[in-house]
Amino acid sequence: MSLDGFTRSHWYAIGRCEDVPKGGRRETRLLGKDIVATRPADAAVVRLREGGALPVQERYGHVWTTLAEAPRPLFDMPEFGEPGRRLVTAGAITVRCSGLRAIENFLDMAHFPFVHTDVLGTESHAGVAPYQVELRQKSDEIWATSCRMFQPRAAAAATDGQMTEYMYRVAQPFSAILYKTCPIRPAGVWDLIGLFVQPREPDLCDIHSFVLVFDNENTDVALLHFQQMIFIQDRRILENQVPALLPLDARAEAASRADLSSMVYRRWLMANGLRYGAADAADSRPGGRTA
Amino acid sequence: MVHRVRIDRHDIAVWREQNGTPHAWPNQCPHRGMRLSFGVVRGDRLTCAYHGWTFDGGGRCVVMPADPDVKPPASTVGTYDCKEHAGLLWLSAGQHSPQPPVIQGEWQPCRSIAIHASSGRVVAGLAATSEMVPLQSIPGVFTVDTLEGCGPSLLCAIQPVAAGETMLHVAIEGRDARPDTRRRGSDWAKHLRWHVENETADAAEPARR
Repeated sequence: MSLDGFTRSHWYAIGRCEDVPKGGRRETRLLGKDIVATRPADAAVVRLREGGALPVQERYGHVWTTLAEAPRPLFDMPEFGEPGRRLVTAGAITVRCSGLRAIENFLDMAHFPFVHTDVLGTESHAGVAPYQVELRQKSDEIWATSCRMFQPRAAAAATDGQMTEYMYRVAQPFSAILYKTCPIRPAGVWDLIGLFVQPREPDLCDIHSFVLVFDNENTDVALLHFQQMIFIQDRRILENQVPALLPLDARAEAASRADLSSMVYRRWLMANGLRYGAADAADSRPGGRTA
Repeated sequence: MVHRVRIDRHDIAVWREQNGTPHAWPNQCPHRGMRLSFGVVRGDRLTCAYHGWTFDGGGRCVVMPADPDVKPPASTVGTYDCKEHAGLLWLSAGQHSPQPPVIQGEWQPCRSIAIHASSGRVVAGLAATSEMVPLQSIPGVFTVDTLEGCGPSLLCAIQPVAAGETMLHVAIEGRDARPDTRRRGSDWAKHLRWHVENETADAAEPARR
């Protein structure tokens, strides 16, 4: 698959900073290319295995690189500069699906009662209240706001069920952040949970995730375990969607009102000419090409 | 309980309503593509594991839990013909849908067994080891006189799954097959599997020894 310009133009997280220690080496794959990350001195260095240095920056706990010569700037998350927050990163988890399917699943609240049963949702409160989705032209980002869901156990720090308020931000085609009511801070303070997806192949990705939260009770390990529990439940879904690639054509899959984020996301990818990890029309039909 | 069944390139979810009515559907939720074989059956409906979209026996979506006040789409999941006959479930996957099978006599299900070989090798193995008679009307279906003329016949249906993978479904003649007769039918199937996997080969596929 040739690489479309939109996919090429972005930065991708390829590991946590600590996954590339001084003198260490991390071999991985990005958009069908073998790449090597090293740290000869203080700064990480990333190059193509076939030769050629790639741009590098270290932000949000991760090493980022890009195949573009003139990449778009990496999106801003000012919350990383706020005192008192704790950052927990999960490290790369490989999932056999298009990275676009992973982002779309991350944006979706309707699956909480069925996939994260009695944790992030419960079948007696399965309705998804109407929410707003907008494409912010200036930043070229998708934001879903006024998202509300009843959650039996919204976070590691939560003890009771609560009506949780969310905002979702698609900062790049393969990166998304969730802003979630902080259970122990006043209204208007958000906990952040994010996914940085590293597409290895159109139907194979490494998912880097983080939580950036106010939490005085839980250890880092407890926060990590909560994230991993949620993630394992999602992976069972992601590796069993047919096709593994994301259909962008609105006619390919049925949708309802709760799928507004998904519909705007697909439309935005299509309008930008994104093809990497996207399905052809023929992939989507039952009995068409399957894994 | 929902079963995943593969026939050549068809990926199929097979399930029964509580009253026993069987259904065979493409293994793909029309909403977000989740394999329906991960779903759950409640009464006469199948619920998808991803968002709980719930389908009636005709394949129509009747509940979208996230949007309880929105009318579900009128389209259906698309269904395969599925019928229970002679102790086995039969379904037609594709255009060349034949008449539903008609097999004379009474048959009891005995065993389904996975064989790591092409369906052609399974047929060859059957022919080499048994007195088998093809049923003229249905390809891949045979009756076999396994028990050397002193017991009931077996009905063998061959399901090509994928390259080098075949399912063999065995039913046993008679209304009330005794446990030891079923056991012999099952042993026969295991022996056939051993024979096919070890003593037969495709031209391009050497036998695994």
